[in-house]
Amino acid sequence: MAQSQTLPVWLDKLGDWNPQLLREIKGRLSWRSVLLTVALVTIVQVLLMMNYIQQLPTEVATNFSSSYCISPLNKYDPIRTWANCGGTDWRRWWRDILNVQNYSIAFFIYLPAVYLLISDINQEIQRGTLNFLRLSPRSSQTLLLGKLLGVPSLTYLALVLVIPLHVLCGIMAGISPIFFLSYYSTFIVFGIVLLMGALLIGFSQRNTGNKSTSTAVSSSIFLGLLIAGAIVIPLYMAWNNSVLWTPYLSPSSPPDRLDWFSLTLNRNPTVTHLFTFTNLAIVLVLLWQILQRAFQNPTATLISKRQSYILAPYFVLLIIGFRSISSSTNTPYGGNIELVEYLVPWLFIGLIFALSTVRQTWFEWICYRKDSWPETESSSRIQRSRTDLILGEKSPGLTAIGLNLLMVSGIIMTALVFPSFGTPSIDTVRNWLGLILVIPLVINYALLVQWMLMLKTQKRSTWAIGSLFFTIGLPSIVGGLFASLGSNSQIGQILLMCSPWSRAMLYTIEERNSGGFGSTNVTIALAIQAIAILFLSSRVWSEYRKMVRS
Amino acid sequence: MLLSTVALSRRFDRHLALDSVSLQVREGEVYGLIGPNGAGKTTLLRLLALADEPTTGEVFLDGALLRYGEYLPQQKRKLGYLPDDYPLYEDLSVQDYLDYMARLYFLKEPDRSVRIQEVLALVQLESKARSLINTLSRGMKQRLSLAQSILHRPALLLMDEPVSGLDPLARSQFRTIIKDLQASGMTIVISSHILSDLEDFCTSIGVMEQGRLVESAVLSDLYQRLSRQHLMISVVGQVDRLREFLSNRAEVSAIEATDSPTTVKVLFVGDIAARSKLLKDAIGLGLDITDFHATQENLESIFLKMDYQRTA
Repeated sequence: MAQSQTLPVWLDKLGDWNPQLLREIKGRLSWRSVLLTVALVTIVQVLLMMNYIQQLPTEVATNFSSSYCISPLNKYDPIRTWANCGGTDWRRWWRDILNVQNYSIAFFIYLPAVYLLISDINQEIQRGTLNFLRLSPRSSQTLLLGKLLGVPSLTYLALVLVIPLHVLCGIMAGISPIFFLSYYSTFIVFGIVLLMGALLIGFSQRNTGNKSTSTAVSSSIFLGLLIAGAIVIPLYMAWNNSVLWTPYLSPSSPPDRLDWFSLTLNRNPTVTHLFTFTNLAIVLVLLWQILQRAFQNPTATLISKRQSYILAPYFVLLIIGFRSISSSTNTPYGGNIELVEYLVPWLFIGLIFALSTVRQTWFEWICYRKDSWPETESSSRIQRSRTDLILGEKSPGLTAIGLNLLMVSGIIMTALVFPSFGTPSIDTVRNWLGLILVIPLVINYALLVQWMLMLKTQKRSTWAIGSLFFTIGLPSIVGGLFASLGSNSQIGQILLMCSPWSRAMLYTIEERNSGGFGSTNVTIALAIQAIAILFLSSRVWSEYRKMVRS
Repeated sequence: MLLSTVALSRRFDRHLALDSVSLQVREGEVYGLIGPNGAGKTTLLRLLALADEPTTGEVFLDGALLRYGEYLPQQKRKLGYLPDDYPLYEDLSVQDYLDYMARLYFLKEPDRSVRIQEVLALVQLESKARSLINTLSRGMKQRLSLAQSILHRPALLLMDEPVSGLDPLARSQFRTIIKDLQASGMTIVISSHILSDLEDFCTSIGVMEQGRLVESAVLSDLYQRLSRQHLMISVVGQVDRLREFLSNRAEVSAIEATDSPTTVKVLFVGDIAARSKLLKDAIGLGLDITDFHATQENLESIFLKMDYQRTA
């Protein structure tokens, strides 16, 4: 008889609703793996508790000091026993365990889930089964949801297992139960966003062909874990600890005021939570659309031009709007425009890879774009051509990157011209120079990647990534070396101004030459960038002409 | 028309793999796509199966336009696709794999279990239901893949070189299964570069050369139009009388020499009824016929004659 008849009814119904979820659950939740997960979580929790039990004051004096004495009789005596301790500060003890868990839960649950999802998608691509899933009549939502819920099912089990001790620690530490509501609701919503990002990284290597290589697999896993573990999760925890959970974890020490444009965030937990969840929801909706596109159409660019016009300005507006105000002096700290200028090159490097079209798409665009235009009067053809360049699926991504750069620059310029918009600029001249340096840098990166992706070679993506790394790395390393040696720091400064660290370089120049901004260096850096733009444009144009001729 | 394409093209870099192919397949038809390696058969089938995006052109299934990358549950349920590399979940058992696939195609109990048993019986894999896929032979995997592609009773089955790489026994089994599917009324588009594989069951043939569909015809029309028939007639004596009789018949286009003095070989252009009449008339004339044998050129000879040298 059929296997499905041996399944419990609820599981069978679940399988009818989402076959992908059933397959993942059946494949992953075996008795062996469930027992292993339970054992692992229990062992980690026991080790954590043992570590903190050892730090408690003891009956007999030991060589270890304890930081959990309420009022030590001799505060210079590092050896604390019950006798000279004045009692144990249990609240603090439980709170310390809670704090460790707040962090460790995030890392120990999210990172394995990220790994599982990326490797699962890579496995599907390698086997060629992902294409088969695409051919099924199930919606991409169903299949992606099945992956998101099913693939990390063991990590979800681990999450359920760690909750009791986490909550117990909170209760014993006298933490408000609302904290747990906040912790887990944010954990779940952020987790969905993070795991969707992991799926996207898994899909991002799909353009290399039907089958992915083992190098591509390991590099996408490494990239996913690096982004999640070193950037996204630490940022998430930093935001939560410093803004979202402050009223529950450190109620006695109100931090500096944090505004987003005219909205004060960290004085009212409801506003803070609404702000956090609204932004997570925006990112979630955007990522969900991008994911569906990546799943349904593996030959298309990772994101559409339309999506990029929302993504880039949203990202810049979100950051530029923050304003930190000192609680003691009631004056803003500033520095956000500077931060945005630091981040813009990296934002655009991501956009460039997500929007740049490969040689195949260029050919299709060159050969067939005019076929789809209606034979009407010339003005409508021009309009159609313009719309195609701005929004078209097959049209080159350079226009979209240019438009995004225009929008992002517009936002930064608005913030520089109108101090009431965003953070008041502490150093307007440096910020203007930073913007002027970052624009040609992004144009150069976009042209370089596009040139590489147009080449006739088989490994265009590898060439694009490699050449971009080289272009970022060479001026950064050589410039950094020269700058650190100090003997000929002008070369170092100029080279660093042609790298993503150009904004930091402006700061250094001012420090060293208090009289000015090293305007000669800035001019030379701009001239180098302009020459590079001319050279790369000519290469892209030459490749384009070759394609047109063929 | 169940399936039709309008000027379907697919370009890979500078190479035009498929060049403006307009194809029409009627319901219940078994359409054979033939052509040498690199002619564009796999590309065409991938486009028909929505596994790839055409550079230009359109595909219609049962009158509805199929667009790559769109959510088309109704149309996708009508399609079954057996690619040449048939990816499988090797860690699953045959039963579990088919159960998963059946669920993906919205088959619900009790129909699901019944249908799984049906297709397992059809592809002769009932005894392997509990076996892991990675323990199956290549032929078994091919049949399992076919079972998966017909599990949801598609209106149109697309098969890309289904018998290539199989041993003679497995090929024979596979041909039997395809004939069963044909008998059940399923519309099939099947590609192969081995013409004898298709001759048995195809009702129509399309010839592909360098990305173009250079010929598309009902097989019987093609035979009538292009296939030559030879008749070998042996008589006891009276050979000259026989030659005279045959030379006056309109259906006989040429009389050829043979090694035997009692046998005449003629090139015949008539159908079965004309052949029967010729025999009756010869006997009626009093010719003492000892042997009457007809041979027809096969598909391979026809295509050699059509100048598609590489195809043959």
